[in-house]
Amino acid sequence: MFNEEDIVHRIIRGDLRAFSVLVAQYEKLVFHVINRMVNDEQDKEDICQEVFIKVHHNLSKFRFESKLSTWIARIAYLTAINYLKKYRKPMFADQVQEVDNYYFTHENPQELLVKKDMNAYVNFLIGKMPEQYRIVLTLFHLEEFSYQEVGDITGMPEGTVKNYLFRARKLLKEQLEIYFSKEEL
Amino acid sequence: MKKLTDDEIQQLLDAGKMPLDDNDTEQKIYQSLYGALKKEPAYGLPYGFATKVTTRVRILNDSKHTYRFYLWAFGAGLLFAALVYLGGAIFRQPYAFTLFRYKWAILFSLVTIVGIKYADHRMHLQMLAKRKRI
Repeated sequence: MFNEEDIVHRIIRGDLRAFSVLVAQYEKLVFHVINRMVNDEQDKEDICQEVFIKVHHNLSKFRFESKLSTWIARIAYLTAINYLKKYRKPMFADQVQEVDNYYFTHENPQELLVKKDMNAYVNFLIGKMPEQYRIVLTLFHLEEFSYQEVGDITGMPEGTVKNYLFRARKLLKEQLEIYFSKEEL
Repeated sequence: MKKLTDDEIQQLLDAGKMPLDDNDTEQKIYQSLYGALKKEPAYGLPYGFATKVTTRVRILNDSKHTYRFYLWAFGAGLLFAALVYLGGAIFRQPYAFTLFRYKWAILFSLVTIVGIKYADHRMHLQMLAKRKRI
């Protein structure tokens, strides 16, 4: 079984095999965060590597005040934010609207293509949303973090997390309503 | 039956409770959406990612240690030369004066050796950084 405390202490003592175990344990979490924030396929792996190098470098500062997964997810989130600030590569060109007033724009040919599979279509729609919506949806639904943990990771107040989650899901539901109504035709 | 609002449906689903009305299209859509949100992406990091990262950390650690070793070696070299000179000067040995005469050459040699090692270390890090774009 994965024992957080034991693994952390072993890594601090210089045990690289323990570090490898930690990476294997959390690589999915890190990938899910990076995957939602970054578009470039090659960059995704490099950023994931960077996240774990930062984890290794800063592990002695981890005080077990939160879950290790929350701490690692925060490093992943901040690394992705830094990357986006440095190499601003929006996933879609229409991501300039304000977060609170975000709405989906009209269909494009790419959208029509992904619409054949509902899960792929939902992922496509999430990819079009602002970063804040994307990250709260991923952390809450895919990684099953609580509202408070999502807040700790992203630095957003709990109320904002709830608000973004509600709005994001409502927007997705509205798009799916159109999707299902067209499917039935 | 009273139609549930978006907020109410979402709260029910967040609490893990199934919405009550099977004929309500909105509830069905929300259920499908929640299912889709839980689905992991079909792709992920390549096999052997953990080994790759661990190797990179090992290389970084090794180069850090090598760098520290050469810094210590430089300090130790200087200290050794100073002690040899002092010993010679106290016991009036002629080699002490020779050593003093060539002090700049000795210092230059030490700086050159450490400088080459430092440059090698930097180049090594730059090669690693080629894959790192943050």
